[in-house]
Parts: sequence; structure tokens; C-alpha cells
Amino acid sequence: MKRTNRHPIAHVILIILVVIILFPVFWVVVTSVRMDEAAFSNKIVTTRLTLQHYRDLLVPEKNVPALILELQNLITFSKPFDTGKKSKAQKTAVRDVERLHEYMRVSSNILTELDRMKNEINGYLGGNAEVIVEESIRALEDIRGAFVKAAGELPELDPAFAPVVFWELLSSRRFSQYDPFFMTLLERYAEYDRNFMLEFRRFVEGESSIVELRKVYSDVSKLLMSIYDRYIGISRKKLEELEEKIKQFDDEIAKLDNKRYTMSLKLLKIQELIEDLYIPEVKVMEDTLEKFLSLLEKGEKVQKNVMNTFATETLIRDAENAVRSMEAFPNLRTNQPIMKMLLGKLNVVKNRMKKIVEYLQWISGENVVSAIHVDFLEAFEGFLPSFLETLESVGAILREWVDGTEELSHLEEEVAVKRNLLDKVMMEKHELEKIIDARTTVLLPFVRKQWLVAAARALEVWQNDLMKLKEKFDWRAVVKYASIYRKVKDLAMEYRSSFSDDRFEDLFKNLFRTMSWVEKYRDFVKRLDRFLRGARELMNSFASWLKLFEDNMFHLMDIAMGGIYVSSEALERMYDLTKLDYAGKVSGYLGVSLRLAGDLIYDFPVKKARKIFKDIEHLLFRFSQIWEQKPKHFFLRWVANSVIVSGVVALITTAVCALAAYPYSRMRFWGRKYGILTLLLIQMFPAIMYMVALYGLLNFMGKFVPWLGLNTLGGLIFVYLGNIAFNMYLIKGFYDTIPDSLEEAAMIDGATRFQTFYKIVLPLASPILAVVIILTFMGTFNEFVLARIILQDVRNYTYALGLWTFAVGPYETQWGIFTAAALMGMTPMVILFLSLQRFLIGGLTRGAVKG
Amino acid sequence: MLRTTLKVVGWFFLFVTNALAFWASTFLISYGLKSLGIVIASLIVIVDFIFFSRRAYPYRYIIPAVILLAILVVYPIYFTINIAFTNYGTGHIEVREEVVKRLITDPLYTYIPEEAHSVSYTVFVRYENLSPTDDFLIVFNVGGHHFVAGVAQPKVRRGREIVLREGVLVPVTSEHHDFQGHVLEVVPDDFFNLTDARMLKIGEEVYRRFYNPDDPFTVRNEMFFKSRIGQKYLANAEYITPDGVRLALKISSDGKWRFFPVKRLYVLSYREVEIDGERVFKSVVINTKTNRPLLEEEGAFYELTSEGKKKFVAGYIDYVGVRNFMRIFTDPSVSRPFLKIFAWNFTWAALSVLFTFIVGLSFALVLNDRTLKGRVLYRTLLIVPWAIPAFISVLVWRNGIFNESYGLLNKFLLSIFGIKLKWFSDAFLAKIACLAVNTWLGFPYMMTVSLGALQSIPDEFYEAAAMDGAGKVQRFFSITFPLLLTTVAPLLVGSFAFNFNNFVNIYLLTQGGPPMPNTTTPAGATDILISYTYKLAFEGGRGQDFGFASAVSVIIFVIVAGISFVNFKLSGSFEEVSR
Repeated sequence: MKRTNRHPIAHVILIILVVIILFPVFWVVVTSVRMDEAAFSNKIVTTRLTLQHYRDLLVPEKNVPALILELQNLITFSKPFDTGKKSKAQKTAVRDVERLHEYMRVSSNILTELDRMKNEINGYLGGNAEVIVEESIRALEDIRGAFVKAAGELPELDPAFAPVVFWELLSSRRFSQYDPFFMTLLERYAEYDRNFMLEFRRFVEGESSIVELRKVYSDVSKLLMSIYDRYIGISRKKLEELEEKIKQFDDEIAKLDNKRYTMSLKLLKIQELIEDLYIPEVKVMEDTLEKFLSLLEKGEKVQKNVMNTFATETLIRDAENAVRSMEAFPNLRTNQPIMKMLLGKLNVVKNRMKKIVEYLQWISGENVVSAIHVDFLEAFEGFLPSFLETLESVGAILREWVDGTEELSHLEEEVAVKRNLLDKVMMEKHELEKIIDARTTVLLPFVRKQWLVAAARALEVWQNDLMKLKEKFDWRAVVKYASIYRKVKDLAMEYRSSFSDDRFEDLFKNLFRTMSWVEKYRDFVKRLDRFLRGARELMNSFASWLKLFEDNMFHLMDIAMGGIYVSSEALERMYDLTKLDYAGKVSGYLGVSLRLAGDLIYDFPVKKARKIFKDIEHLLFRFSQIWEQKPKHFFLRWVANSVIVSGVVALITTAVCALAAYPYSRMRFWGRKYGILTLLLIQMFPAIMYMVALYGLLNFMGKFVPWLGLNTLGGLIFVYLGNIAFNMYLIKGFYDTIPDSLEEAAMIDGATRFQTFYKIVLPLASPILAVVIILTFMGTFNEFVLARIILQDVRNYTYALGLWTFAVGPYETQWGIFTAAALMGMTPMVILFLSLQRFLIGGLTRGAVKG
Repeated sequence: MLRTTLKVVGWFFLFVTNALAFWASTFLISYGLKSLGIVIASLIVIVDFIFFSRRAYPYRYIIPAVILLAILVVYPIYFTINIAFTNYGTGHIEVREEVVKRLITDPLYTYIPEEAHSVSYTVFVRYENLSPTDDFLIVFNVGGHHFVAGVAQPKVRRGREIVLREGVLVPVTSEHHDFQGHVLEVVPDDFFNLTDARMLKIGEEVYRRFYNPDDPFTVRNEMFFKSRIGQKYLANAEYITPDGVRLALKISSDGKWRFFPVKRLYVLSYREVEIDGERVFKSVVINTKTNRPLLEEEGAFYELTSEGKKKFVAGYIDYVGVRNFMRIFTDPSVSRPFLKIFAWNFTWAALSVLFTFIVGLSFALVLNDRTLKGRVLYRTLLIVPWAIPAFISVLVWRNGIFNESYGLLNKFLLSIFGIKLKWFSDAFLAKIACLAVNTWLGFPYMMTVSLGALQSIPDEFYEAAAMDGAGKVQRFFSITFPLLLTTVAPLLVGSFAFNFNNFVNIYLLTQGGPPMPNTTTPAGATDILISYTYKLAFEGGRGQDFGFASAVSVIIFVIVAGISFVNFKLSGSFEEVSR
């Protein structure tokens, strides 16, 4: 067997899989120590770390907004200061104000420090101007070289194509004397246009002004455009038109389709109506008419009496009308079964009605009719109006159906016509595209060559511009540098998008790498300045309000002591400053400069200065920690609640189980077997299945025993105590391994059964009891659902619920605090689990895996 | 000596327990909760029997566990089945007697007669140093006669809640001004305008003028008055004048809290009705304004308005038969989502078991190779997903990985493929996400049990097979897999049962969402029965529906019991127990 060969691959695969599987854990660890907002970042790790999230959870710092809130509570003696003494409250207030002063000092130190660092960085830039500029020039030179080389490989321009090629490049550019790219293009073009060459020479030699050149250029461009149009421009325009047309057709067809859809829905509805409503109704008419006819037939056979028939003329007229209106029903040929059925029935009705009309005419002609005829007449008179009414509505719905079908077929035709047109236009478009493609393919190498030549020339010009920055790299130089970078970047982007070619990608990337810092730096300085200005303003007004508040703080407190509601304008203004002004004028700039400083740690060209950005980032971060309003939480309390609940539950459960497991291991008694069976069964039903009942139970108990009710830890502990079955097994299994002989010996010495249990079995079983305590502790600590149901007040939450609140709602994107809390909760649990695996796995696979 | 003390303590303890349990059970039975009362009473009888009988000695050890199981498992199961046949839920949370009692006592159900005017009053408060306390006196001016009263005494309670307080008004005139055994002194000494007094004095205690709704000088005390005195002692109070007029605090049209003479809206009466052929007297509630009885239908009291419409007044818990179950099968807006949830619940549990088993077994097969170095380390690392508390992992997956706008997965997909997937708002993707997370959580367990099972397969089998020329694949499918399956099959069924009720994963990851359209219950596409139950009972947008939730619970009971039965058969637990 060649097993040794397999192992390296197995190891590699295993390591990859372990890395993938443990990735979420890794993520939790790295996110919990990140300084930036992980949710909004595309990086998974950063090197900028902080323990701030842990600090926020464990020892939440009372920062400025928190202190102001506390002071507000203090001067009004509201919770949690409503019970304390006045002197104590005063002491707290003094301390809080002192801390506010301290924060002001720290903040203003930060601001001064930031100012200093900003200048220091500037100094570094000036000192290293040569290196920076040279590096950038080298990057440009690399590109230029590559451009020139690439241009050399391309074929020389065919003069016949010159106007088209140059217009292709020139048309998208504005006339600008300062655009080297543009000017180079003009120069190159001049070689192919004798007249223009003369003019251009005159301009270069200073004989004509730029205005004149522009005039000449505008004439030339007209000429170029017309040639270009003839060659390709008109086709392009045509193409655009066609595309426009296609879009229009598409829209129209979509509209028609929509109409068809609604119409067919309507028809379906009508058919449904006919089936459910009209066919039964017509059926009734049909039957009734049949009955009438049989009545009439009968009437003929019986004896005729002399009877006065009342005026039948109106009846005849109505009946004839009905027949006529039925004949006027729209004539439809359809194979729709429902419609066919309706039509068939209507036909029957019509024929029967015709017969009745005949009878009626006969009756009105006779003077002598039978009594049955008279009965018929009366009944018929009653029937006729409803008959007419039904006919009318049947007619209406039939017409509607016919109209609908007609409309639908009409629409069908229209769509077909439109489709046809669309297809034609599409064909046209394809043809045109082919032509354009062929022509552009011919053109492309020439265009590219000219582009590369012009670009190389432009780069040369910019290199010279950069050269000038060498002497002095001040703020103006930064701006200039940024504008050159912008132009080069645009050039690179243009190449990428117009020629979809990536052979220079590496060079471009190198360029971005060496020069892109400048944009970030420029923005950083701008934002930092605005931040500094805003922060100074904020702190100045804050300081004056603080002074005012400090002066009358005790007076206010004295008044509040007398039960009078007081408020401090100064305090309120301070609150507004931290809440509104800070958010509006400071925190935005702070956030952006913080992020940019973070980027510049890696991008700034002077390596020595990078450390300063790190310091700046820390200072800014500290500033935001002091002034930012932080969401409130009770993390320590939640953990404490969890520990209390889990601890109590673990102890009680273990005690009860240790006691109950004993007879199962040592004694024989009635119900032993079924007891175990019941426990086995009970263990299968998790407590959440009867959560409604547990909720009801606590709700009820809480009314009489407050500490066992809903929203209390006592109630939660009580509910958790139902989880006994599993632990009893574990303990019973261990008892079984303790030999009986020890107890027997003790009993011979006169010990009672309980004493042997208490003094011999329990001490021997202490390892398993410890394990059960820890397991129960873990199980309870990890429980979520019952806690969610029972606990409502956020202060009473357990750790599990607390973590949940960190994951949803306002905290959803605050990953730092969530992961820090998660890591603190899971680390002890993972350690406990891994060290107790033996027992856990043994217990879980008990009975199934033997040997 | 020690033994005797222990015994005495034991006896005393038993006695106290007996007394308490007796009190509790009689109280519960009188309170209308017969079943719980009987459970407690029978428990105490059993306890006594066990402690008095020698033969019952072993049970003494078990009794605490039995009591806990009885209260926390058996009774809740019974209770769940019981309320599955009731309308228990929002609007129906008390039994009928309590609701009737509330209707005829709660000051909420009073009305102000049309001709009545508000009664002027002033509250006087005792100060401690400079701060007011909630010890107060209240002075009423009813048609020129003045009355004084203190805190009204609780009259009707429900649990700790005080439903109604009643206070007797003591008339005060310049001749008779005794109050609570002391002489009431007034500053200034003017008994004709008592509501304008500045101070009241009873014995040593001084009460200062604190609040009068019409006195602009006391407006600053309004907050304190409302929160510390009004809500606590006056809102549920009725003060009765010697003429029997009841005064109660109502919010008047100008927003102030004023006292009005009120009348009870409802009184109790009995009517003779026929129930199952017997004529019995049944209590009815009568509206005193209209003098018509309230309509009682489906466990609720309704008022008939003049337009003949029913207006809900109050509901109580009532048996509704199998209506909750019928809803599941006949009401299309309930049954359609229910069937979907039902089907997904089974799919979810089955696929979870399948995926975790496949992944777990694959790892186990690799790690079972004894010549592989570092297998203990690999095993420990691979167990970590199991070791982390599930709720933490699920939240991490939900927030960090699957989050639609910020999650790493979508960021990754966006940068590579330029797409973002709607992990939580698309039903299918949400299901995929649930299964992925559950596979991650559950495979270490399967790996561990498979490893255990693999190690218990004797090597001789393989050696014999190898000698017969069986290939690797053949050996796996004819030896390893069948032998493995016989040992892990019960665990697979157990895992199925566990996942069937895996609430935490579903609820914390998707909250059951995305919601299903066109339903009257809060059903979501990834909801399983247990999370559906939870939502019905505790999260329904239209209130809590405990009855219906319990009906779903009962269905889960039946399914889980079925699964357990299969599992016991498979694992031979029945035989093991009878040994």
C-alpha cells in the first residue's frame, strides 16, 4: 500500500477545508478589533486595531453626551438619583463637570496635535519632493515608452483615411491650446493638409494668434466632419435612428400586448359569467317555454268554452319583439363550447317562442278558446317581462363577447404588423452594423497609432510640468500634481474604453499606485481643515455654556430639591451641541478624514510620514469616542444575569438529578421501567414546544408570587428546571459503575441507606456531578427562545438576548461591538466544550455506539 | 442527637409543604383553575404517601424530580392540549367570571351622566424637607359641601393589580371637622372655601396645597401629581359621598384630570335560559344606559349599537371545540401557508440531516486513517462550529456573511460576478441560506458519531475483504456503510427530530421570512412549524393567538412522538430499558 503518498494531498485539502469552515470564527476575531466600520469596508482585515469595542462593552466610558445626560438627571433629581442624598448628588455633579473639563482639555490637545501633525506631513512632502516627483516621472516615462513602442509597430497612416481618422479623434475634444494631446493631433493632421499646415506653422512661429487658429480650425473641422460623415458618420447616425425606432416599436408592441392581456382576461370573465349565470337562466327560459307549449297543446285538445280573451295584441307584440331581438343577436361562429351551448339553447328558445307567437295569433283570431288557454295567457303575461329582461342582458353580454373577440383579433393583426416592421428594422440595423464594423476595422489601427503618438507627446509635456514641482512641493504643487494625475488617469481610462485593450494594464496600475495618493491626500487635508474648524467652533461654544452651567448648577439643584421641575438652558444647549451640531458639522468630516488617513497609512509616498497618519487616525478616533453619542446597552448586566440564571439552574438541576438517579441505579421498585421510558419520551419534546403553556404558567404565578412571574430571572430559572431527563441518565450511568460492595460494607457498619448515598456514592460521583453542572450551565447559557418569551425588560435580558439586540435594529451595521460581544460569549463556551468533549460525545452517542 | 434534629426539621418541612400545597390547591380551585389545583393536591397526597410508607422508600429520592417534571413538563403539555381547544389569546385572556367581575367593578366601565358637572377638588401633599411625597389628602367641593379623604382603600384586586379602590368621603364643616381621629385644622381658617385652603393640618402632619386643576399657581406640580399620585392612587379609585354618589377621575374635554359623578355602565343579572333541556339561571351583564343585556358570542361580550352592529366589549377564554384545527384544514388563507410550512419543515429536517451526514461522514472517513498525522488537531478544529453556541454562530452568519447589503458573501459576489443575491428577501435563497448555516453547525456532530462508529468496525472485516480482492469502493459500500448505518441510524432519526424543531437557526437567521403573501397569519417562506407557533403566540401583528398556536403545537407533538417511536424501535431503547 502506498499510503504515504496520499497524505500530503489529504493535508492540503484538509487545511483548505478547515480554513473555509473556520472562516466565520476568524471573521469574528478580526472584526472585533477593527478600528474602522467593518460593515462599510471591502477589506476583511486591516492592520489598524483597537480594543475600543471591548472597552465599550466592559467598562463603558462616560463620554461627553453621557455625562450631559447624567447631569440632566442630576439637576432634576430624576432616576437614578431620585433616592440619594443631596450632598452625594452635588458631589457627582461636580465630578461630572470636572470630567467634562478634562474632556475639553483632551479634545483641544488633540486638535493642536492634529494641526502640528498636518504641518509635519507638509514638511515631509517638501523634503522629499525630488523622490516623489522622480518616481512619478518614471511611471509616466514607462507608459510613454510603451506607447511609442506600440505606435511604432502600427502601420503608417494611409493619407486617404487621414480626415476620417483625425476627425474620429478630434471630434470629442474641445479646442484648447493647453491640451498637449489636442495640439499634437492638430500638428499631425497638418502633415496631411497643406493649407492647414501653413496656418499651423504660422501659429507655432508666433505669426498668428490662437484666435485665428481657432477660426481656421472651425473651418477645417467642418470639412473633416463632412468627409467623416460620408465615410462612417452618417451610418452611425442612421444606426442611432434605427435603434430609436426599434425601441419605439418595442414599446408599442408591449402596449398592445398589455391590451391583449387585459382583453383576454375580460373575455374569460365573460365566459365564466355565461357559464355560471346565463346558461342556467336560459335553461330556465327554455324549460318554461316548453311547459307553456305543452300547456297550449293540451288546451287545443280539451273542450272549448266561450271565453272572453282579453287583449292579446300587446302580448303578441312583445313576444314578436322578443323573437326579433333574438334574431338580431350577433351572429357568431365559434367553437367555444360554452358559447356554443349558449347559442344552441338560445336557438331552442327562439323556436319555441316562435311557436308560441303562432299560438297567440291563433288565440287572438279565435273567439272561442279553452280555459287552459286563458290560464296560459295569464301565466305568460307574468313570465314575459322577466323573459325580456333576461334576453336583453343575454344580448348585451353576447355583444360584449363579440366585441371583445373582434377587438382581440384586431389587436392580433396589429401586433403582427408591428412585428413585421420591427423585423425589417432589425435587419436594416444588422446590415448597417456590418458596414460600420467593416469600416471601423479598417480604421482602427490608424486611429490607435495617432492616439498613441498624441498621448506620448502629451505625457512628455506633463513630465516636464512635473519636473517643475521638484523645487518646492507646497500646497499649490499638490494641487498641480493632482491635476496632472487626473489628466493621465483620464487618458488611461480613455485608452481602456475606446480600444478595449489591456496590454498597458500593468503600467496603468503602477501609475495609479504611485500617484493616486495625491487625491486622497488633497481630500484629506481639505476635510481635516473643515473638521478642525468645526470642532473648534463646537468646543468654544461648549466651553462657554459649560461655564454658565457650572455657575448656577447648585442653585438649580436646590430648587429641584423642593419638588419643582427645573431645566438648565445651558445644559440643553450643550446637549444640542453634542447631538445636532456635532452630527451636522463635525462628525461627517471626521469620518471621511479618518477613513482617508487610514488609506494614506499605506499609500503616502514618504514612508517616514506614514506613521504620522497612524497617529492622526488614533487621535481622530479618540476624538470621536469622546464626543459621539453611543447607543446604550447593559452588557455586563446581561452577562451577570446569564451567569446567575445558568449557575442556579445548574446547581438545582444537578442536585435533583443526583438524588433521583440513585434509586434508579440501586433499587428495584414499581414503575422503574416505565419511569425511564417516560423520561426517554419527555426528553424528545423540547420545552419550546409548550412555550405557550410555560408563558401562561409564569403569567399566572407572577400575579401571586412576583419574583416567579414573567420578566423576572426567577421565573426564567424556574422554567429551565424542567430539563432533567438527560442529566439523570448521565448520572445514573456513572452510579452504575460504582461497586455495590462499598455501600454494603457501610450498611453492615450501621449506616442508613441515605447515609451510604450521601457519604459514599456522592463523593465518588463528584467528577460526573461537576460535568453535569458545567453541561447544564452551558446549555442554559446558550438558551435563547424561552428567555426571549419570558424576559421583556432590556435590563433583565440574558447574554443571548443581549447579543441578539446587538445583531438587529440600530446595531445591525455596528459589527465591532457585536463581534466583540460574540467573541467574549463564545470563547469560554468553546473552551468548556472542547475540554468536555469526551463526556458530551459519550453522552450523545450513548447506546448507539458501543465498544 | 443530630439525627433527631434532622428528623424534626424534616417533619416540620413536610408539614409546612403540606399546608402550603393545601392552601394553593384550594385557592386555585376557587380561582377557576381546577386542573392545576387538582395536580397540586394529588402531588401532595403522593408526597405524603411516600414519606409515610416504608415500602415507598425509593420514591423519596425521586420526588423532587417528579414534582419538577409534573409542573414544568407534564402539566404544560396537558395545558397546551387543553388550550388548543380554546380561543385563548389577545382579547381573551381571562376566564368568564373574571371578565364579568372586571366589567362591573373596573372604573373604566363607568360613564358620566349627561347632566353631570365636574366636581372641584384640591390635592394637599405632605412634604419631606423640600420634596413632596405621595402622602396626600384630597378635598372635594360637591355642590357647596366640602369633603375630605385620603388614599382610597383597595376594594377589588386581581393578583397584584388593584382593579378598584373605594374611598369614603368625610364631610367637613366649621362645626364638625374631625378626620381620622384627629381634628382637622385649616389655614387660613375658612371652612366655606376649603378647596382654596393653603394648608391642612392633622395632628402633627402638615399637608400643603399642591394641585388644583383650576389653580394656575399649581400647574407646575401637574407632572408630579399625575405620575406619582393620580395614576397610582386616583385613576382606579372611586370616592363615595354620604348620598351614595360615586366620584371618579376622568380626563375632561379640556385635557385636565377632573372628578365627575359617575354611574356604573354594567350590572350583573340572572336570566333563566335553557341549556341541554334544563332550565338554569345564567349570569348576564346588563348595560344600565340602555337596559339591555350584552350579547355573548364565541367567548366575548358585545354591545348592540343602535344601528344593530356588534361592538366588542371584552372577551374571555372559552372552549371553541375543534375550531382551531378546522381552520388549519378549511380556511384557505390559513391552510395554504400551513401546508407550505408543513412541507418545508419536513424538507428542511431531511435535507439538514442529509447534508450534515454527507459532510460529516466524508471528514470522518478521512480522519479515520490512523496513519494521518495531526488528526486529533484536525478533529478538534473541525468540532469548533459545534462548540460555539448556535445562537452566536447563526447571528454571525446572518449579520456578517449573508446580510444583503453589507454581508461578506454579497461583497464577494459583487466584486467577482457583479451580482448581489437577496439572501433574505427571496424565498428560495433564504432556504438555501438556512440549510447552508445548518450544515455548518451540524456536520461536526455527524463527523464525531461517524468516527466513533467507524472505529468500532473490526479491522478483520477489511482484511478479509482485501484478501478476497475487494476494491476500496466496494469495501466502503459493502462493509463500512452498512455497518455504519446500523449504528448511526437512530442518531440520524434523532437529528431529524432535533432539526424538525430547530427554532434558533430559523428564527435568528431569517425570522421565518420572507413573509408569504395572502395569508391572515404571520407565515413566512422559511418558517417551520415551531417558529410559526412562536410567531402566532408572541409576534402576531394582529395580536396573540395562543389557542391556534397550541393547536399547531399539538400537531408537532404528534409528529415528534411518531419520530421518537421510530427512533426507540431503531435504537432498541425499549429492550434496553426492560433489562
